[in-house]
Amino acid sequence: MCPSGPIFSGFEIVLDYYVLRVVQSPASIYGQRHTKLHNDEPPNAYNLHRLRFNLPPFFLPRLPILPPPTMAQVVGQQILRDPALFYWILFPITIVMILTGVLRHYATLLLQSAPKPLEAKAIREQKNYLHGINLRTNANQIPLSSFTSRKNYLVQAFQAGNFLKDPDAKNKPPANPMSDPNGMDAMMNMMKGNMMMIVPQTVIMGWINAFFSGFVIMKLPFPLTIRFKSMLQSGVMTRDMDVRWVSSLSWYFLCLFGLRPVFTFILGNDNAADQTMAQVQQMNPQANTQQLFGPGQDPAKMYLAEAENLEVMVQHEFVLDGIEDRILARI
Amino acid sequence: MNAEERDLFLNPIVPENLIANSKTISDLHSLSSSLLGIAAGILGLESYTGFLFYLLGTLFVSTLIVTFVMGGKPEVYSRGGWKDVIAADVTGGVMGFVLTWTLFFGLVRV
Repeated sequence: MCPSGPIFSGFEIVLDYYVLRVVQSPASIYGQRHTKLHNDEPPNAYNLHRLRFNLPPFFLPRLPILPPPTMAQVVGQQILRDPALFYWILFPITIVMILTGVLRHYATLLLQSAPKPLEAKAIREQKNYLHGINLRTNANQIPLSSFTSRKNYLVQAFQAGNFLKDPDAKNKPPANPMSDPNGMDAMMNMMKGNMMMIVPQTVIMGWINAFFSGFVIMKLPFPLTIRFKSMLQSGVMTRDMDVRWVSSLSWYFLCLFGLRPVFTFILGNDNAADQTMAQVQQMNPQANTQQLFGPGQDPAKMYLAEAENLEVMVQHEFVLDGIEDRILARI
Repeated sequence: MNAEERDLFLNPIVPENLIANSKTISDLHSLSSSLLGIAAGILGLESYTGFLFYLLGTLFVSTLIVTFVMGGKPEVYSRGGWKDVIAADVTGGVMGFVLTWTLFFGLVRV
């Protein structure tokens, strides 16, 4: 230990050819960061490769001076890594992840088949059902008399099954979704979407495991519990290494979850490069009408249920009731 | 019909505008969280200090959004007012922050 040195030595650029050299460094806990690591070793060629420069002490915050460690305390670990680890592992993984996202986005756009034009009766069936729903949700926008007459007409027509595409199919069991061509189409679309997610992830994970396992490439800036060790340090068989040192697979996971801002700025907000976007698409109203009349649904039963919903709607409050008072109150 | 529903019914909100606004806010937040991560990594912040830095930075960015982008009237642009601005897209923001934080911490500090 050399007490005369600066308390915190600032930047050190350590250029050496040794990868993954674990050095137990009590000095780093005192606040001296690898200034005295190799004090006991005779000067050799290895030390000559160490190039360091110190910034003036006011430039960087001083580390607190801790009491000397007892035996039970974990000694701070310092690992000198080859900069080539960054060039050959970290940057390739990052670039591949970004490009995969871009590729997934455009592949999703290409694979999306336009919905097939429906025949006139099927469109009539869907739109009249939506008419019922819209009347129910917007009932308060029209006067009670208008609402009642529309309701009476729709309930009567719904119960009679006037709008059904296939009125004779009322009592038949629903068709098998596998044999229905429309159902097959929807399922193929869903399959495509899932494949676009699963295939690249599997391939990239295999690629990382095959090429980059066993390297410690970076140190997380925050501590983690010991449970993460088996996951984050997979392939590195060092029992005592701090959990903060992580392997390339962890960087892959960080990229997987954290690259969404990057995609947002490359591809725009509505991109398909990320998994989270898939959930947003389910809220798309256009997709919802398709799902309403999806395979396995019985339109006749849906119409009967909707007629019942309309009938039991008793509360009606016209939006223009009391409009004079509200306007006068606002002036 | 309770009071809140009634209020929404009498003063309706256009959902498209609401969605566009929240997209703009989350865009700003995700960009700023990535930049905050770069800053934290270069500064060499660790563990709690880094997350505290993110928290303060996000609050600062939210203040800027409320003051300049929304002109000081957040309730005109989102239903929850300034709370919506702060709470927009927290998970995505934290993930982006951690990614760039780790990257630049590794590049500059370790």
